[in-house]
Amino acid sequence: METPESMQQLEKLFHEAAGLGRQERADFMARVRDSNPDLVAELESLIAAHERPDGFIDSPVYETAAESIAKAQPALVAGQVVGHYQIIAPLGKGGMGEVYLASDTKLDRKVALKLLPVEFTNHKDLLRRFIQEAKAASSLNHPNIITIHEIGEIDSVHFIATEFIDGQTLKQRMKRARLKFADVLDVSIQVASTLEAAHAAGLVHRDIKPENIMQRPDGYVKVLDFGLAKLTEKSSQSKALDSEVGTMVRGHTKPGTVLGTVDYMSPEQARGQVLDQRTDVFSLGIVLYEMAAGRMPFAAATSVDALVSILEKEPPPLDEYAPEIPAEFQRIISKALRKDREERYQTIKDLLIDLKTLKEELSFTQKLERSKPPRSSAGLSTRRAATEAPTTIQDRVVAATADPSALKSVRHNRRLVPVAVVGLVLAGLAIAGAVLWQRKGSTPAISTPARTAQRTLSYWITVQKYRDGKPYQDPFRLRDDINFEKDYRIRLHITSAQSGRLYLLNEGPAGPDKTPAFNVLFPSETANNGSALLTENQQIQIPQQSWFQFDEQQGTEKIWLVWAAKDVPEMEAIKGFANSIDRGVVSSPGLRSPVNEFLKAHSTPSVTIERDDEKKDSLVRANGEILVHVIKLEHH
Amino acid sequence: MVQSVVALRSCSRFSMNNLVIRPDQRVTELLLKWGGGDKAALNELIPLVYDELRKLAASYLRRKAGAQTLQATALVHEAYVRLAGQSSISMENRAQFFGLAAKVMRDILVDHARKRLAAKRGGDQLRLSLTEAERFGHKPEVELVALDDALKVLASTNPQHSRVVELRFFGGLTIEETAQVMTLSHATTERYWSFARAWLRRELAA
Repeated sequence: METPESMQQLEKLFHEAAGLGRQERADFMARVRDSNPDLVAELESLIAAHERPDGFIDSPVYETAAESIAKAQPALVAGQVVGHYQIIAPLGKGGMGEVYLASDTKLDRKVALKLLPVEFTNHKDLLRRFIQEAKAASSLNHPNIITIHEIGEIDSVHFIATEFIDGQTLKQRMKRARLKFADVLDVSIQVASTLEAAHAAGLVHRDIKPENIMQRPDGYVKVLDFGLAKLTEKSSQSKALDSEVGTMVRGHTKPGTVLGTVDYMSPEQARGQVLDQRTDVFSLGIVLYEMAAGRMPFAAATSVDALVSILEKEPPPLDEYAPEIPAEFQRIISKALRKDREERYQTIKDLLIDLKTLKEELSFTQKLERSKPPRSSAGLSTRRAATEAPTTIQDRVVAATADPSALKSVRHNRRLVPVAVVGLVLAGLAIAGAVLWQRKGSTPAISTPARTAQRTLSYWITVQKYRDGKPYQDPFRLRDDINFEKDYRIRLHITSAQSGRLYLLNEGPAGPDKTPAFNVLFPSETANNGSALLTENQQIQIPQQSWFQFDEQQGTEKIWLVWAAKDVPEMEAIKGFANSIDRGVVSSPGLRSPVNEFLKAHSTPSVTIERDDEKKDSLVRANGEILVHVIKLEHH
Repeated sequence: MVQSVVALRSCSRFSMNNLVIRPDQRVTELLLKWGGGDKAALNELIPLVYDELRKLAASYLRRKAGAQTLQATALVHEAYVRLAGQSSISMENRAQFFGLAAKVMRDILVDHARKRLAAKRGGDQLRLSLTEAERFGHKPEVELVALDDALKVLASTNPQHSRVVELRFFGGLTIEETAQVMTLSHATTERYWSFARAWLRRELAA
């Protein structure tokens, strides 16, 4: 145990030793060994630490400081004045910003003031799109859509002032108690009809979840945050600008932090695909399930597991948790939760019609029940009414199915609804391929029909040899195959002749279970702002500021280069792992296999490789949308 | 030799030319009071400094288009200029302000790092045979928390040394500025720094 005294002595010896040359220091240490045998080991370790180059303490905290501080809470306190708003109390905090109850001092009314997180408002174009959408939703003047009073900026903080709803969110409500089925149906219908109005105006919500659904004490439902998801959306829509912007902003975020939760995402959203109104159908389906069952259909411990569930798993049947729920409601939910959006309700209106029909059926049977004489002197308890009515409905649905005319009356409307879905088919993967690291000089010129624009990418690799934790030799460009050793470091330099998406994965030597382990090298939280997008002739060094390092695991290291004209969903789904917590490791098996399949599917040797021995770089060329190239580095 | 990730101090300053500087008279007053021994003034000062750092950081992030990096140094100095301006504040008060800002920075950053680490998932750890040496800006969370812990240990025997590191690392102060804040000589400050640095390097490497 160190004491102030022993430390003082240690420090004195430290400064004496530090000031000495090599030989003198050895003598000095020998003397200390005699006079202070307890201290000598510690002194030696301190001197060694003193002589070690560069620790991170040597430079003040930087960069991340800004982010941490900007995100630190709380921003505002009661009584504080922001523009013409005076803060009354904080209302809550979500992934999309802090919300305060405030008083509008100009118009003397209460408002909900939402401050948008800095990282989402960095980009003017995104912000403009969000404002556009939020205003459009507000201007629908729909009674269930929250009214926006003002969108503005004070002290460089963007805010939205909306009507203040004195109620609770569906999330809060569900936390307190399970909803009665009648309430489930009532809330469902209100939300669905709100979305119907929005969809009719061409607005997709994109972030339907219990936190965004508020209910007043009188039962009135309000849907919040229209357009807000636009701020974080990774879009691959046809407008080039939009997609670039979307990708960039998303890059700052990690799975599970973007919208606060991934639990209500649709599969296409999880994949980062182009969204249409059917994403809202799916998200609403999750909310319906949760209201009815009292648990989430894709419950998972982590965001990644939740994403896998959304993409691959079927939710447990509703009657496991809520046996009293009508089978028709289960059918409605199942149809809303189809993974393939082509199989889902094509419009929210279809869903709404089914919900309304169910409600009518229910109230019809209830009326029927009421018209009957009470079965017992105590009359019907509400509990009985709740459990009995559905069985009657079930019977009726079965009956209706058997009766063609009844079926028609239920389904008729649906047929008339135009299916307003924008079908965006990703362009076919014309040519793609992979080749092995070629020996110098070899140019397997494989001619490919020049149907599409040629994609070319040139790269070289810098190697820094390491031994005993120290670099030796100057870094050099990799030219011949070399055998890599533990601690060797490499760095890639890539230039793209066209703009497009670049993804870089490392696949380690196959483990005992034969499943490939992927490590996302690019893009990452700290590289290219998390965006895969490179502009024409952009030159990039990966990693941007340090090196990749070999560990003791021997075998063939593969580095997969994926170069595509558009976002590659399989890659987009995993790039979020390149953050300081996951450190690039794709830890979810559910996401690894699609990646593996993608790489395999595009590994036909139809790319051209040219080695320039003068410049020691390689030019990879292919025609088509996607170019896949693998670099193999041997480590034995 | 791994290339240093850290930008040179001189490149990292960012100018706030789009913001009007309006020194806060209140801060000057509070600094004077605090300097005069009024402890309550400190309680009032901290939220002001905190708020200013937060605003500056936010504003910096918004303009972070280029390759500039932002260091604590820049942040603390800008906060100072904005809060106290070029008013008739003494060198001692200025030093005090930096000392305070360093403490606030440490609190915010370490707290944030701890929270992020707490959120770290368990899950199956995959073997990674090719890793990036210093990929994510020095694993900020892990290192910050480890440094904070080590500083606390150091402070139990050597509070002065610990404070020097706090000022240098979290406040971004130079040796000269640190000496001013701590009312030590330049030489002593340098000795404290070099010993504390070696001690911390060894602690953090263990």
